[in-house]
Amino acid sequence: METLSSTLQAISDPTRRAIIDRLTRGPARVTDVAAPFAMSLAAVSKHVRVLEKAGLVRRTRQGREHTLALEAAPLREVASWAARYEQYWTERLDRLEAYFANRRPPR
Amino acid sequence: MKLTNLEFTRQIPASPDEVFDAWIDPTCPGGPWFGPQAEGRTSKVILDAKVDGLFYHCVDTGAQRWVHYGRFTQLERGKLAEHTWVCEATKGRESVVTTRFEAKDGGTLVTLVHAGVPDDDEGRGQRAGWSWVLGALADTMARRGRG
Repeated sequence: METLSSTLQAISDPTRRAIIDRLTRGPARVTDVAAPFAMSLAAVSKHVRVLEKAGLVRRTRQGREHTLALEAAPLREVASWAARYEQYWTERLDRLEAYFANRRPPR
Repeated sequence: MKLTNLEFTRQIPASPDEVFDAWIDPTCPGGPWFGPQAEGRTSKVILDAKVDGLFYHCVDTGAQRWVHYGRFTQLERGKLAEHTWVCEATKGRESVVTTRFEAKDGGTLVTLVHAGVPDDDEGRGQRAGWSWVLGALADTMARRGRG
């Protein structure tokens, strides 16, 4: 449960969610991750450290270059614990929508 | 026990009658009761879609079994489907799922309210996070498998 709490705390911030969202597309350099944000590199690095501490992000260093990669395992724990109803009904509504969208002939 | 309500809305490209019929038909691939949702899952459904009709719905993911029981309390074609919902996660409590179907923009606006769901203090206020996790990361999780 401790892991879960730190995961929930880590993803409660929109900037950190945006960082994770970026990393779902693959590993990236810290500077690239920071680029879209209207905040200093230091401020973004602080968010990255929270994510590292929660085990959501792994950092590798090659010389002066720091690369970040997503560690999705803690997020799976959140998904299976907290969101069973959200997941359950969202999946069903997705499928209902897909069923009728696919059934309707193209206009 | 603290309880909460969850609400979902979705625009569906079909008439309210069609959507309603799909929603309560366990043999319709678009309905909530139909077959395994994903590879590796199995399911079983017994359903009597009439007022006071009962249902049993079990989804087995391999890692866990989700078993749900309930009773249909209101059924109005093209308008409303309501049933009770009891499972492990409701801690034995009878929660209520109300699904409304309204004609909108040439299709149907489906509004689903799951009322009386046990809430967890720790989870309160984190719902935005959960929705995001489930939406944005579903693909990532699928790619990385179940481990």
